[in-house]
Amino acid sequence: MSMTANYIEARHPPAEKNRPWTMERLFGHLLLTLWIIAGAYLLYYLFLNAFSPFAQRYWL
Amino acid sequence: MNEALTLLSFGADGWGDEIAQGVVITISLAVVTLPIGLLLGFMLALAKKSNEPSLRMAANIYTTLFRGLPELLTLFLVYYGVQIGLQALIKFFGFDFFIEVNAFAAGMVALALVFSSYASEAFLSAFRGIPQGQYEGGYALGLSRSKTMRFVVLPQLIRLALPALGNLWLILLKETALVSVIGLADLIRQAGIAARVTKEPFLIFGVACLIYLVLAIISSGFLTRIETWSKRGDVSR
Repeated sequence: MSMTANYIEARHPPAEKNRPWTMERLFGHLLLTLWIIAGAYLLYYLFLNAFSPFAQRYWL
Repeated sequence: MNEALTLLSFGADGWGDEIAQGVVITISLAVVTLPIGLLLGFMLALAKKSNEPSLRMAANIYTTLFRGLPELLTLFLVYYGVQIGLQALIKFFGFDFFIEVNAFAAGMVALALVFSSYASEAFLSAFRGIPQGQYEGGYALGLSRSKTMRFVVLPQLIRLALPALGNLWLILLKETALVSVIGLADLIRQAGIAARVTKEPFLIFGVACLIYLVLAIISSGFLTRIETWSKRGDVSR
């Protein structure tokens, strides 16, 4: 007998688009927003420093 | 032989006390990092098995990032990055003073970040090893979600995740050596100073090796005991 059905599915079904804004959903979106801000700030910081006098003189 | 013993003795002539202080720092760093990493790893595993896609994605970004970066780089990012970030925040609010991030705290945070990203995978695989019927059994008994997790799932989860977590603990213990590069006086840093001053690197680093081995053996003993304890309810076949 297969035991597969007894275990938690590793793959999740696609989420409904009009699902309610639960705490879980809010927290997930908050974390994703923080990741996006952190990534964007890192790129901005690197971009700014690429035009610093030090980078202009030694790297570029 | 006498010379080597003098070098390793405690007191003004030897380096024993400095190395012992390093051992204390190494052990405290690993012991303090472990609960933070475990808690964070467990929460990450819960997020990864959630039905909410945004939460899963946020947790997966975390794991991809901190498993993909070298530990040393994570340490530098935390040590220097947090300092730059705090300084920018202070400047933003109009203050003008300098903050220096504590090397122990930076090491603890960096190691906890890396440990938790690996631990989350260990917890996730353990979660997948628990049959759905266990949750359903808990709910059928009238237990709430948190109580089912605490009394039904968690005891089984610990048993399943323990071998992988044991490996991670040993890796964490050895990775504490990295904090020597940000100036924390751990075992490796103290041994390095002693080796340079005494010009006996093989002896001093050999002692450091032995200390790490002893710590690993003691840890293995503890892990075996915890594993036996966690399996006390199993039926022998």
